[in-house]
Amino acid sequence: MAAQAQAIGVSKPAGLSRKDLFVTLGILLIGAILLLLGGFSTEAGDSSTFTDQVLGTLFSLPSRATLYTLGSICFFVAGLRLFRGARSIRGLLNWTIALVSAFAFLVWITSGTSLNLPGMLQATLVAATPLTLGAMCGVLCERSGIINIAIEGMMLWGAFSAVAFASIFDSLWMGLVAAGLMGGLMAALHAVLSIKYKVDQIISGTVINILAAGGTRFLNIRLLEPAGLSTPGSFPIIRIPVLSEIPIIGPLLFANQPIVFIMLILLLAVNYVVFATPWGLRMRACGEHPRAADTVGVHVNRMRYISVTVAGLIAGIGGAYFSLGMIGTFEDGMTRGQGFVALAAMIFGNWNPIGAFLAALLFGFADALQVKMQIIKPLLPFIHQPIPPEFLQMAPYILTIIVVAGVVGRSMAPAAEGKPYEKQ
Amino acid sequence: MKKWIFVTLVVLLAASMVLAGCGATPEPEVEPTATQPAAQPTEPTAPEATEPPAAGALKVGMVSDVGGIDDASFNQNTWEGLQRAQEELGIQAQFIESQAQADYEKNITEFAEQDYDLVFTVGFLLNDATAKMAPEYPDVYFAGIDQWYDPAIPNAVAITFNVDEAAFPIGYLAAGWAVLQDPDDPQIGYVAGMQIPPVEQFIVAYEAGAAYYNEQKGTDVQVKGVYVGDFEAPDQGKIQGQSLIDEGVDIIFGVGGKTGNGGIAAAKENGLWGIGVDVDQYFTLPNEKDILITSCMKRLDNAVFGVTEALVNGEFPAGGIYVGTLENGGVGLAPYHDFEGEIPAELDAEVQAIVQGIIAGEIGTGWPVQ
Repeated sequence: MAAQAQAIGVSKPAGLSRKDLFVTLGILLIGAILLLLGGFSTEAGDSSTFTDQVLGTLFSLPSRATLYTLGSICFFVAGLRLFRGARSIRGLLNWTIALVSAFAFLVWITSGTSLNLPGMLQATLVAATPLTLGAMCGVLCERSGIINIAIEGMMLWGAFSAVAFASIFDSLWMGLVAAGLMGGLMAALHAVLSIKYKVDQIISGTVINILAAGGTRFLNIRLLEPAGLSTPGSFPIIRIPVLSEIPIIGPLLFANQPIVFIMLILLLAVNYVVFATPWGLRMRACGEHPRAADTVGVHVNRMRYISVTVAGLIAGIGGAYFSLGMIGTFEDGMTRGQGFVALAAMIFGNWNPIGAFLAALLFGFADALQVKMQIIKPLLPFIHQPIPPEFLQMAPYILTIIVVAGVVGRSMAPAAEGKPYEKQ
Repeated sequence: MKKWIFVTLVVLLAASMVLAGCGATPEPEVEPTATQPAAQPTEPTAPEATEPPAAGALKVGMVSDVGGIDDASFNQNTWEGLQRAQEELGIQAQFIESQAQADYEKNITEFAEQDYDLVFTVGFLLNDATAKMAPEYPDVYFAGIDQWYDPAIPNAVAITFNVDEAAFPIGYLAAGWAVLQDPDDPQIGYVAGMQIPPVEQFIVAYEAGAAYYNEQKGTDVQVKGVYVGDFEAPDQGKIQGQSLIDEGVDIIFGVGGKTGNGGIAAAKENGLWGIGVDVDQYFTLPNEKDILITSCMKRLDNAVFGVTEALVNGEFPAGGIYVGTLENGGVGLAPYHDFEGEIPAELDAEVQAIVQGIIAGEIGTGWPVQ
């Protein structure tokens, strides 16, 4: 990110680019809003208390003073951005502002009351889990050169198979394995269609999505429910001994349902394999320049088959999150478009697993924030009314647009994705 | 080879369409009907002898909302009422499941074009579609559940429920339970679907019931809740229910299809309590039934049966409304089930007294909001 910002700075040595100007004005606006909120929407003696389930009160800040301070920081940063010397740290400054404004917002909604901060971070992590798994599926497919818009369908099959097989074997873990295998199977179908038969990859993906919607629904109504196989129950919270006792981060990171742990482990593993192993290098070569990869002896199509199938396994596990992870039953269309949001997280994260994870965390955080705002119902300054829930539900998407346009730079797709490879 | 793959794709697509629509298309000719009056004119059982001769031929259709016929909630409950009508009144019932909001008008047309006598449209979200299509088919009767027509439509009846009458005593009960379980910081919560009037009707009365408890007992039970904005998102419901619990909520009222069920699942995971909605969810949530203290029931089945019966008897209130109340059994509280012995007799007696007070019109539920 910093490197990109630098590159822009070098290419346009004179003055500010239009984008920089907008971002600077945006930061000034955020600062002004914070000062306004501090001045008109908090009482002089109010404090914002952040609590924890175990520890009780974590810390308490005077609301008005904190908002004034954070607002001033925004003005300072906006000024700093205008200096040429600060160009190289612009990316860093942008992220600082993002964090400052998020925290300031929390201080505002909590003024005069309390908020469970670790609980909110936990909700963020849980909500980010299926998105990250879906996005990793996308990364593995697209880095190897196959477009996969069927993440949604693979997750739905995963959610369904998880319930079916968990009930049949009376074991939630078997359900999880079956979810992965089913996702892999669907991905293999996608791979065969797009590699061997060179079907347009968008069409192949669409077919799998529609098949998943209809197929799972049919099998659920006609097979699972009549056979009493539709309520296997959900995964319990697993508490890792000792580690989960650590204050705050213990419950957050080490007391979760297993799919969250699996997601974190897979995240590190996929990132390592794709970017730090020879296999990963070859795989990425297939997505960028398959002919060159072929010339040096990489079996392009075999690579693609393997990547896509493994990707499907991950998406299937992501699907199990919805059924076994959350409510322990299957419902029609229960993935409700999260596969496509995962696709967005992948692009947002620049086809990089860690980036996609951060994007998913942002989506999750925005959602957790709007929930807290519904619970606490902070009053807007001047009109003294709470913000309507419909507006709050929209907020995560507005935030996404702002962040994508303002903070994240241009993203680059693998060059050869979507093109079937033919050996010459 | 290209041709082969094209054929495969076409077959796959066709198969998915068929599977997706499975069980949803009305096929009256294969549907087993309870009676075939033309073929078997005399079944000399007492109730059927009193039926008008054409009753057996009455065709009643139901257009579900997107939740699906097996939603363990209002679509399913409506269908149960129709099945009961099919058995007891000898009508012929059929349903179409709406896959998306865009399907409503198409599905209504489907029934109307096949000369159905009565079409139920299930849910507030079908209000506009019903109001638009009913005048197009003046010979077909329509009955809209959770709907309201202004101006009234001569061939349609709006079925509404005074759910606030049931939600008010439930708010009182929940507050009493929270005080009992967590006397230091009693809080009650709700996880709701979209913020639309039929949902708000539950919430407003639930809050009013808790406020009434505070007023009577001098306590300070707080109500906290969220509108998830979706009826189909159990995963979101669970995460947001967890957020409520993080803020100290002791019992969660799940109001909003599968989303609300997610909220109840969060209560279960934390060893807390839940309250079901629409139907007695003790029977529809096997994983969470042991934490449900009661459910706020909207007896769609009773209402649907009542309206169908009126049609059979030639008393269909066309152009009017049918209101389900505590008094006529259209709404009510489910039994306590596993909490039968645990809800103190005193609290139960107070709740029953409130029910009687509402029926008698002595206690206001806070709905509609002034």
